[in-house]
Amino acid sequence: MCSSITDKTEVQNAVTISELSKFYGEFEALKHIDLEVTQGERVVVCGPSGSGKSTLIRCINGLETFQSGGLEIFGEAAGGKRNGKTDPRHKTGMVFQNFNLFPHMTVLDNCTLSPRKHKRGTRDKLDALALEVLDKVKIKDQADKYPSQLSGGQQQRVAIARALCMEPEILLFDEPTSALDPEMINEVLDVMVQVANEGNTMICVTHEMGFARKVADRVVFMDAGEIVEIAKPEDFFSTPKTDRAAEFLSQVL
Amino acid sequence: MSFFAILLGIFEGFRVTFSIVVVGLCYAVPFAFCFGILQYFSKGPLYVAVTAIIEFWRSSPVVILLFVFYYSLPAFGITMSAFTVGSLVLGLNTGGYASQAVRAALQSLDRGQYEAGVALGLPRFQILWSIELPQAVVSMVPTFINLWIQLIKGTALVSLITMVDMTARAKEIAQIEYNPVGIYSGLLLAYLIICYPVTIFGRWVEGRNSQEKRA
Amino acid sequence: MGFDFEYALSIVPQILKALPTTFLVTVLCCFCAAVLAFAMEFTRRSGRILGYVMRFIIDAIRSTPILAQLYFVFFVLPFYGLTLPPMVVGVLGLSVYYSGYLAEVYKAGIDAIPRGQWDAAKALHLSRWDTISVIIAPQMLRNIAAPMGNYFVSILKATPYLAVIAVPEMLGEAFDIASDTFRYAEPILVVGIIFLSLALVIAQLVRLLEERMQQSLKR
Ligand SMILES: Nc1ncnc2c1ncn2[C@@H]1O[C@H](COP(=O)(O)OP(=O)(O)OP(=O)(O)O)[C@@H](O)[C@H]1O
Ligand SMILES: [Mg+2]
Repeated sequence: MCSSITDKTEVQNAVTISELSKFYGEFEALKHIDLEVTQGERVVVCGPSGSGKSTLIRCINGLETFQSGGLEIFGEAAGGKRNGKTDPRHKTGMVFQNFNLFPHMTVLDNCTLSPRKHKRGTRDKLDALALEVLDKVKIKDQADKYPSQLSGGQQQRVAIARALCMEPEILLFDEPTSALDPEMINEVLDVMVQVANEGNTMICVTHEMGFARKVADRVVFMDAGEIVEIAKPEDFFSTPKTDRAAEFLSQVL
Repeated sequence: MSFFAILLGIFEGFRVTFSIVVVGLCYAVPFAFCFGILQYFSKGPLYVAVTAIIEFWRSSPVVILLFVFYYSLPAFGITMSAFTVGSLVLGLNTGGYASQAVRAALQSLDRGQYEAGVALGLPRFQILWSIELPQAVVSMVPTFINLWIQLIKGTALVSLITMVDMTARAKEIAQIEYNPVGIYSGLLLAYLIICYPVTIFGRWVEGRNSQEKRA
Repeated sequence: MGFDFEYALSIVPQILKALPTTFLVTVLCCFCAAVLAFAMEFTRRSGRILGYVMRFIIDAIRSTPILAQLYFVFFVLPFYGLTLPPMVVGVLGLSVYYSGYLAEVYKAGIDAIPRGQWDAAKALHLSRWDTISVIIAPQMLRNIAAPMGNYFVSILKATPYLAVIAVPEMLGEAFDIASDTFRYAEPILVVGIIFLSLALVIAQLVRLLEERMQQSLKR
């Protein structure tokens, strides 16, 4: 709704992060992060464990607060005083490593909960919408089951559907395949590729380099709370500019 | 009377409150271990008997037990002083609850511990004494602390069977002067002074226990 | 003075007449304490100054005897011109006392919910109230069915305290009879037996209900 003000010919920034720092007590988990993600862009974030990938992505949708620096979503500053306007972070949807589905609700209710609470439409309309999305992630026939009745891969696809049902303008993924058994990884990656190809803005923390090659516009490499390198995937994988990235790649590939 | 004078007046009953707690603990702790362990080991009729005794002490409302022992037992020829009734009933009621903590702690031990003891050729009693109990006690401590607080608070009831503890002192003072706000907030404060540190201590122990479990 | 069994039997009906009052008080207290504890626990979790205040209040409630609390409510409210029926005072007193304990039960039930549930609720941009009522509370209730049932039985067993503030429940009734006839042994023992059987039966019922619930929740 707010994007109409900008010039159509110019690609708008979906996320603008400037000089963002995040501390856990004394420990600086994110150090002066600068990152711009344009609308429709697909960014893959990677880096060694503990480098701050989750922290960064959680800052973007407000799961974590940060101490200094700025975060804008479609040009609107996140956090701070809101003066009755909804937080621009409401335009983000998120998929977690451990799915975090609500175990006491059916698949369908998991998907319709957020739109229902935000009064996006009547129950029937939202149910129909959710079923459409569930169909897209190929799990429509499980709509009335409870999460614990599904396999890990199915649960993660439900989680993706749940995020999509919010009709977010930015989709965030935090290692969506790391908690899955190997044989289930591909069914989730396929869905993610499909979602990517629909033109959604995506920021995705993952170590699935095949996925990065296939859909990413840019790869962001983080280490020790800093962004060390940003590059196109083909460049990043063939000729990493930094030693740290090279070392990381030698470990994961 | 100033609030401070009221508080001092209430604390004149502290000796009684304190003695009931101490003597009550002398009933509670042995009862808890004896019956908790017995329940853990016994089968058949013995188990039923042990369970019945425990259930009698923990399922009856403690006020009622107090009155029954004080008012009804003399009709059967058993007469005890108010102090004996108070410490016995409160002690065994607490002991009844505590016995369940003892049994639960023993039951939740890893069976491998027992088997290791058997493998070492230790007699059953030795396994209990030197392997099972020391581990079980650690997980009982938080419950025991909570029950200890229950016991301290329970002593207020002895004021209903003519003993002059802190609560009874408050009621006595209330007879002399009309100052319900001062007297009864004084009474609450008096118990708070005694129990609050224990409550905080209990939280600390609990926090430490759960941290160890996580680590 | 021996024990007069015939007399004891003859007063059973009169004491049982107070049983509905005992039940009414129990049910009201269970409900009020459960609701109050809910508000208290989520206030404690709000993390701001109010949270610290609530933490102290809960610990203070748990650190003072129920008898002292009942006296406080019973004698202090009238001092400020608020004279309520003993029954209301009793329900109020017991509810506040047990809300302190139920708040602890809720705490344990909430702590057992994975952090990811809170994260997911936030990522779905649910309001705090929606998060609590739709995501957290249902899962919490599932975790705490057993201890909650135990506290409901405790509340039943605490109703005789109300005799000291003149609520006409069973113990109060027994004392009324006793003061008419000057025989204490029989009425008190009768109440004792009734309460013990009641507590045992209801504890069993609660256990059965609990098992049912666990089974139906097991998916
Ligand atoms: N709640 C917290 N309190 C204190 N330190 C934290 C907290 N969460 C994360 N950290 C620290 O911040 C750093 C970054 O953590 P983060 O979870 O963002 O790493 P990550 O890159 O996502 O790692 P992984 O690949 O293991 O998921 C780590 O060193 C971690 O120990
Ligand atoms: Mg992470």
